[in-house]
Amino acid sequence: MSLQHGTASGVLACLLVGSLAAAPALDVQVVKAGTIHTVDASGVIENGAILIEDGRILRVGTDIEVPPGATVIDYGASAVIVPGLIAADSSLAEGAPAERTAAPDLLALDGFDFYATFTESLGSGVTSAYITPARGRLIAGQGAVVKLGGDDPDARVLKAGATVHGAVDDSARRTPGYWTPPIPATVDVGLGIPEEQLPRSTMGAVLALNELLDGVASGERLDAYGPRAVRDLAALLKGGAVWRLDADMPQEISALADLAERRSMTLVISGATYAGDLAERLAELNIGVVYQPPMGPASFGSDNIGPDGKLPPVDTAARLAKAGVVLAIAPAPGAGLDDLRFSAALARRGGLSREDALEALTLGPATLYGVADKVGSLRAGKHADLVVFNGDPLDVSSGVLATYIDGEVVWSPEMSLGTAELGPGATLAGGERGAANRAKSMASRPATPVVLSVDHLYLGDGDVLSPGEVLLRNGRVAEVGTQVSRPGGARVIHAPAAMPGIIDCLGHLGLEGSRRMPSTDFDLTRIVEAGDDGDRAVAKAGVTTVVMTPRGESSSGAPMMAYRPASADPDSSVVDGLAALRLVWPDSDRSKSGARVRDLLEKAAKYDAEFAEYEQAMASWSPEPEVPNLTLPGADEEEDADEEEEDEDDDADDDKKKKKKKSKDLDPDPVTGIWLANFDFDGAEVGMDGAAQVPEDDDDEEADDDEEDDDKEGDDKEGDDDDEEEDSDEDSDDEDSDESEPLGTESLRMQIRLNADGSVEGFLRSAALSGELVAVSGSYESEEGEKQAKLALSGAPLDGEPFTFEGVIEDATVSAEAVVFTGTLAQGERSAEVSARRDSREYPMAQRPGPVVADEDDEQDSKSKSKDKDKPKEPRLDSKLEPFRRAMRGEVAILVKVDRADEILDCVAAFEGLGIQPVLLSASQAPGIAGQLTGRVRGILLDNSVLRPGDGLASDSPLARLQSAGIPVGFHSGAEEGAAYLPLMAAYAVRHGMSPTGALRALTADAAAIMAIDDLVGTLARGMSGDVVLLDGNPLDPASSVLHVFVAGREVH
Amino acid sequence: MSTLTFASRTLLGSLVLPGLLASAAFAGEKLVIEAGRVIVSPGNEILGGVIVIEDGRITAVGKRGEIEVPWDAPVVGGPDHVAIPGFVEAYSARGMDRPNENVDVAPFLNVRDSVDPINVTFEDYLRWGVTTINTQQGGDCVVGAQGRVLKPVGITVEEMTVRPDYGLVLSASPKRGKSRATQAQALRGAFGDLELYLQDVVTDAKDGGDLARREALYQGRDMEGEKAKGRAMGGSAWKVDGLELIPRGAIDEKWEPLLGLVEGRTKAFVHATAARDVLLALEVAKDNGFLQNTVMIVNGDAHKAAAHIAAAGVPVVIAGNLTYTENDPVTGEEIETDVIAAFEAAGATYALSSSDASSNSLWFRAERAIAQGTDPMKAFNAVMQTPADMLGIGDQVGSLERGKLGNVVLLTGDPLDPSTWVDEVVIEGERVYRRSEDVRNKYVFEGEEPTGIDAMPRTGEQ
Repeated sequence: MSLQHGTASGVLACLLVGSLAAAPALDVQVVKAGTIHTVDASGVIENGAILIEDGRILRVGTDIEVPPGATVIDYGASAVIVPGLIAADSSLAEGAPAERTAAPDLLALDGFDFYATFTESLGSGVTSAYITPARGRLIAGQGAVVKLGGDDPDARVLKAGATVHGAVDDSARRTPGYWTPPIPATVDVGLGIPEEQLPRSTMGAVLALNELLDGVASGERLDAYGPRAVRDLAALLKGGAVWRLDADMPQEISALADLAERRSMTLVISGATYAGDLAERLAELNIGVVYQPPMGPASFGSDNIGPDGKLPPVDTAARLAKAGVVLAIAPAPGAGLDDLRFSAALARRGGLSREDALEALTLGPATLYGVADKVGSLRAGKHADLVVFNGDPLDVSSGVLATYIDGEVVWSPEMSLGTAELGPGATLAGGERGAANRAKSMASRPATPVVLSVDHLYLGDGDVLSPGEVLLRNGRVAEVGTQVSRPGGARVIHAPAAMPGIIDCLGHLGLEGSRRMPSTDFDLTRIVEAGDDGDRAVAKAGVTTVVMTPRGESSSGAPMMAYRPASADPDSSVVDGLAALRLVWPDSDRSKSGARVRDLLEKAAKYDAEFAEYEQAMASWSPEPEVPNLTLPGADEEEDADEEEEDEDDDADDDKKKKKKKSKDLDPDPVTGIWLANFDFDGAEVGMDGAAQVPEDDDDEEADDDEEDDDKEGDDKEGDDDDEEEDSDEDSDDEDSDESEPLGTESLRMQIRLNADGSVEGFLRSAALSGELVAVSGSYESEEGEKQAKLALSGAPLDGEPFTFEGVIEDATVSAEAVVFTGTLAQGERSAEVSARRDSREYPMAQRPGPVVADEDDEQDSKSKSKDKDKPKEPRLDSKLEPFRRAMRGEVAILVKVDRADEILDCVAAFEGLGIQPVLLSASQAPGIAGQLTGRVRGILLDNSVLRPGDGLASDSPLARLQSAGIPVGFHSGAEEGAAYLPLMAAYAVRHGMSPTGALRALTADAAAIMAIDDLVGTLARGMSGDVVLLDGNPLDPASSVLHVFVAGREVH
Repeated sequence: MSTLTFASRTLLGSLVLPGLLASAAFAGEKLVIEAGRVIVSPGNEILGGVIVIEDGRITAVGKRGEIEVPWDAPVVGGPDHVAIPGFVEAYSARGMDRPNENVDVAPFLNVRDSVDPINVTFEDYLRWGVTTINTQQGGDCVVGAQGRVLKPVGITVEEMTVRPDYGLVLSASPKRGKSRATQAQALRGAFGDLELYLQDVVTDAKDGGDLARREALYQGRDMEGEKAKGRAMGGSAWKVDGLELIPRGAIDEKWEPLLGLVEGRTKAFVHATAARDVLLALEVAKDNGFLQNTVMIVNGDAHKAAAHIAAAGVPVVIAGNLTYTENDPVTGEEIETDVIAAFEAAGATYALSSSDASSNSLWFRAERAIAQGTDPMKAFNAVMQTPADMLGIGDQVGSLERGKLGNVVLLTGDPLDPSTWVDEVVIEGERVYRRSEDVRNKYVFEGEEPTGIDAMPRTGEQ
C-alpha cells in the first residue's frame, strides 16, 4: 500500500498523460543581460547569455550562438540575472497542527493551493518556496518544496517529502494531550482522559526523537505516538527527507547537534538565532542552517530583547557562512516572501558577503532541501528558473524586470500593471463608477516605471545634477536626485544627458492646417489630433509640448492650448486646455492701435469688478433666519413661473393665479428645479432618491392636509417658506436614502428649466452617463386641465454616447406630494427605468439678472418676496471674458502681438491697469527698452529673425539682453513640424551670444512660466509631467542627438 | 404558511402524502400513458405517443395506433401532455433530519436511520418530477455514511428504497474545524487505520487468538452462510495478506463499508468543492483502488481542475452555482466562468444536482444551464440518463425505453416553456402525484386550505 505522497504524485502524473502532457513544441530562447550571477562554478558572467530549451538551461556563457528559430530577449547592460530565489521558509501551506506530537503524515502539499496566484512573490523574484505543513509540534509533518508559478501542479512539486518538519524550541512544548472520543462511548468504555504528549523541555524533545528513531530502526509501532507514526516516519526518511527542526537557543542547537551526530541524522536547523558560537561544530557535522534574521518588520517599533536581555546578535549568518555551514535565509519576522531580499539584507548586517547572501537565497536552500539538482543555480541541465533585476539583486532599491519559471515568463511588470498601479484613487473610481470607467482606466494603463540615469541631468531651471537620475512613474516625474529608487519592473536607461521636454511657445502643430479662428471660449481640445507621424517627428526632436494656436489673428483674442505631440492617448495629449490667449495690438490704422484690445480689457475689467463686488457682498451677506411655516407651495411657485415670463404685468399675474386656482391646482411649472434619481442600467432596480416613493409617516400626511387647507384659504403670502419646508423634508429623505441606497445604483442629478415656449433646458450630471456635466434640452407637453404631462430630454456628452430621457410626470398638480418624473433613460444600448424626484424648485441660472438693466427693478420687486431677500446676485458668467479673469489671477497667459517701442509701452501700461503682465509677441523693439519692461511683462517671444543681433559686432544678442534685464524669453516655431528645429534655434541664439544656461531655460522652464504651464512641464521635479529628453551630449550642441524621448512617462517610438 | 408551527407542518405533511398516494391503491398492475409528445430521452421524441406500463415497468413505447395497448388498463394523460422520463437526482443530502455527523471517520453510519419519509423535501421532489434520488450524507465529514437510492414515495424508508446501502461519502474538502492538510491527513489516515486494523485481525487469527471471531459472536453478529466464510482481499490497490483466514462476518462493522470501498464493491461519492481538493480526492481514490467507482461532487471553483478530473475518467456532479465568479488577483477584475462549459470543454461526464442550488428543482437547474448556453440535450441528459448511469441504474431509470421502470412525468407543455407545469407523476407505474390534488400548491396558488386545517391549533398565529 502506498500512502506516501511521493508515489501519489507519480500516480497523478500517469493520470495526466494524454490530456495535459501533450508533447509541446521544442521551445528555444536566449536571454541576455549585462550581468549573470550563475551561483555556480562559472561565477559572474559579464555580457553573457542563457540558452534555454524546453524549460531547461542548455548553456550559460558569453559565447552562445543563437540557434535558428530561437527567441532572443535582451534585458540590456544594466540588467542582472540571478537564479530564481528560493524562500527557505514560508507559511503558504500552513494550517492547524495535528493532534499528535508526531504527525509525519501531515503533508504540507495538501495545504498548498496550486490554483492560487503568487503574484507578489513572483514579482519580487521568488520562484520556489519551502512550505511548512504546520508549526508548533515536535514533528509537525512533511515539508515540501514547490514552485510558485506554472500550470501543471505535478511539475511544480520540486520535492514532496522534503523534510521531517518539526521543532524542539519553545513552540513545540505546548502540544495538548491527545484524546479521541471512543465510539461508541458506553459505560464499559468510558470517555477516557487525554494522554500526555512529549515534549515539555529540550530533553523531552530529545527523548521523544530518540524513541521515534528507535521505533524506525526496530519497526515497533509505538502507540504513544499514534499507530501509524513510526511507519510513516520510516517511509518519509527512506524517501530522503531531511530533519528540519526549529531551534534558536545554543543549548537546543547543541542538543540537536549531539543527537544528529549520535543517530546520523541529516539535520537542518531553522531559526538558529544564537548559532554563532556553534558555527564550527555545525560545519563539522555538516548540519545546514535556515537562518531567520532575528529582526524584521514585525520587530520594528517593539523591544526585541532576547532571553539574555540583550538585542539578538546580528553576526550569526556571517559566522555560519565563514565556518562553511550551508546557509539559507528565511523571511525575517513579519516579512512576506516578497521581502526575501530585504531579509537577506538584514542577514548581511553582521558582515555576510553579497555572494554568500545570494547563495543563501538560491543554491543554499536548494542544497539543504535536496533539490539542488533542479534549481538553485544557473547551470546546464537545471530548470530555467531565473530572475532579471534592474540592478544589484541584493540592493534593496533595485526591482525585478522579469521572473522566469521553466523558461516561461511568470511575472513581468506589464502583468501587474492593472488598477493596482494606478494608485488607490483609481481603484476607488473603478469601484464606484463601474465598468465604464474601469474599461477606460484599462485602456490608458500607465507605462512601466522608468529610471533615467544620466551623467548630466539638466533640470530646466538652470541647475544641473552630475550625475543625476529621474524616476518616471504613472506618467509623472516621481523622483529626481543623484540616485533614485528602482521599483520592481522599472527599466533603467543610461545616457549622457537628459533635460526636460522642450516647449514650443507658439506653434500650429496638431491643427492639421485648420485656419478656423475660434473665439476665446472655444475648447481647442475638441479639434486637436495628436500622434501622427509629424507629431512624432517633432516629439523625437525633443519638443514635447507645443502651445498651439490656430493660424491667423483675432482682435477679440484667440485661444491657445498646450498639448503633447505624440502622446500615447488623447487624454494625456492635453497639458492645458487653455494655456494662453493671443491678441493683436497694432491696427492697420496706427492711430487706432490697441483700441480693440483696450475695449476688451475694459469689458474684462468691468466683468471682473462685478464678480469682485459680488464676492464682497456675499462675504458680508448672511441669510435671514428661516421661519418654519407649514403651507402649500401655491403662490410662491406661481411666482417662480411668472419670473420666467418677465413681460407679464402684475394684473395679468393676478388673473392667471385665479385661473389656475380653478383648474384644480395645476402646477404651471412642474419642471423647473433640481431633480434627483437613482437608477441602475443593468438591473430592474428602480428607485427615486431613497424612500421618497411612499409618504414617510402619519405626521407628514397631516402636514400635507394642513397645507391643503391653507391653500383653500388662498393664503398666498404665507406660502413663501414652502420651499424650505419641502426642502427640509427632502433632506431627511436624503439621509434615509444614504442608508438604504442599493448597491450598484447610479445617481443622477439634473437641473432643468422650463421656458415660455415649452422647451426645457438645463444640465445633468451622472457618472454613469458622462464624467462631466452634460447640457440637456427637450420639450414639455401638458394638456390643459390634465394632471399628467410628458417630458422628453436628450443630451450629448462629449465623452460618451448621446442619451435620451423620456417619460411622464404623473401628477403635475400643486398638491402633489412630490413631483415625480418617471421615464426611460437610454444611452446607446443601455437603458434604465428611472424615477426622478424634484428636490427643489430652484434653478439658479434662471434667476440670475440678465445683462438688460431695465428689468432689474421688476426683478427686485419679485425678489423682495422671496426668501433670499437681499441675497447678492451672482453676475452672469461670460465664457468669452472668463479667460481674462483667469489671466488676472495669473492662470492664463495673454500674448499680445506688438512690435514698436511706443506701442509696447502703451500696451504694457494698458494691461497694468488690470494687473495683468502680458507676454509680448514679435516685440522686435523690446530689447531696446528692456529696462522699462522689467517686472511688467510675463515674458517676451521674439521673432526668429532676430535671434541674432542686428548690425554691428558690438551689439549683443537681443535675447540675452532681455534675459539680463530679468525678462523671461522663450522660443517658438510659429510652424507645425518646424517645431522640431527649436533646439537648433536655441543653439543659434547661443552662437550669437545667449548664455547656454539661459537658452536652456528659454527652451524649458522659462517657456513654461511664460505660457502659464510651469506647474506641469518645463522642469524636472517631483510631480511634473514625465516629459524627458535623453541626449548623447550637451543639449545645446547641434551635434548632439536625441536618444530617447518620454512623453507623459511613455517612450515615443 | 410560515406561521404554522413545526408540529402542524409535520401534520400537514402527513396529511398530504397519503392523499397523493391514495390513487396508487387503485392503479392496478397496468397503466397506459398517452401524450402529445413522448420524450423517450432528450432528442428522441415520439409525437402522439403511448407508454404502456405493466408491473411497474415500461413494456411498450410508441406511436398511438402502432403499438398494442391493453384494453383493461387505465389511461392517463392526453394529447396536450408531454411525457418525459422522471428526473434523477445524482446526489442529495436533503430529506434527512440532519445531513452530517460530527465524527470524522464514520463509514458505519447509514442514511437509512436519518431519512425522514415525510420530509417536505420528498414532496417537493415529486412536485418537480424527480423520481429517483441518490440520498447521501453531506460533505462535512472525512468519511461519511452509507447512502441509498430512493424514490420520493413511501411511508417507510424501505418502501422508498430503490437501491439500499449504496455508496459511501468521502470529503477531500476540509470539514469544519480542519485545515486542508489535516483533512487530507484524516482522509488518508482512515485507510491507513483500516489497513492496520486488517493486519491486526489477521495477526490475531494467525496467532490463534481469534479475537475477532469471538468479538463478533459476542456482539451477536450473524456468522452464517457467506459471512462465515473467509475471502482473500479484493480490490486493485493494496492488499492485506491472509484476510481469507477471517470470516467476513468477523470484520468489524465499523470498518466493513470502507473495506468494501477498497475492494471495489462500493461507489464513492467524494466531495471536492475547490480545485485544490480535486488532486487529493483523485490521489486517495487511486491509492485505494476506488477511482473507477468514484463520483466527484464539485462546486464552481473545481472547474479549474476539470482537466485532471476528466483525465482520471471520474464523472462529476455539479452542485452549487453554475457560474463561478472570482476576482483576478492582479487586476481585480471580475471573472465569470460557465462551470458546465468548463467541464464540457475538459471532456468530463457531468450530472447536475440540486444540492446547494438556488432551486430544489432539477428541471429548473437544467433550464438554468440551457439559459447560460448549455446544449438542451446535454442539459437534460445531465438530470436524466447521466445521473442514472452514475448510480449504476442506467438500465432502470433515466429514459422511457422499454424495460425500464415506469417513471414518467407528464408535463402540461413543452419542457422549455416557463409556463409548463408538472401535471402528473408516475413512479413504477403508480400514479403518485397529480397537480390537481396537490394540497400545498392549491393552498399557495388558490388559497384553498387543506381539509382539516381548520381543526388544527394555530399556535403560531397568536
